[in-house]
Amino acid sequence: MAEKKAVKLISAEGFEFIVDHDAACVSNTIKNMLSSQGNFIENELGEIRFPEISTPVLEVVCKSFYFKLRYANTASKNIPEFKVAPEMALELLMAANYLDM
Amino acid sequence: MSMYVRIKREKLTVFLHCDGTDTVAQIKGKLQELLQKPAEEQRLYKDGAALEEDKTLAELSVANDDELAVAYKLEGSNEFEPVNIDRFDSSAASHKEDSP
Repeated sequence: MAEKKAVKLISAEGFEFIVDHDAACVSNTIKNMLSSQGNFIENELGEIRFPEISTPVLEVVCKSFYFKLRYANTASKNIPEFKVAPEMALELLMAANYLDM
Repeated sequence: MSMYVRIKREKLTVFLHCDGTDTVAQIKGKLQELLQKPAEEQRLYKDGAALEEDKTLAELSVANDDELAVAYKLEGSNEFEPVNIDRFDSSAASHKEDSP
């Protein structure tokens, strides 16, 4: 299996999340950033900073990437709910809007 | 069915695709590239307990979305550093620049 590059996402507080390229591309915004000629590559690892996304929100965003990858193309009826804490919902919605996912 | 685990150390979280049949050694191998840290200098923990090298994730009952910790071998010794995961503290939201 040819390993696609991983991507490093950095939250407002400087916490780092390394996710698979495929997973990050669930977000159209990130996909465009990575595919454009823009130079985001540092140490062969794409790094993207999100100064407006806090750490807990970014972690849930990353989880949702994997959730989507896992369930997007399944026909199965028993897809679990993606649970979100109510107090995070608004911030998460804004992040999702920005990330276009 | 693919699953993933979240492997943490300090401020870093690695989301890693894996399979229940993967061994701990295989996971370290995958981490090796991402962390630029040789597999033999990594030690993985789940809930504070070190994971055995040749067991599979299923045997260790590591499930989807589980959180693991990785510790590195200390330079110039055979000891491993203690598990250290920085937690985000929303009460300390004022952004402080960490000294190196």
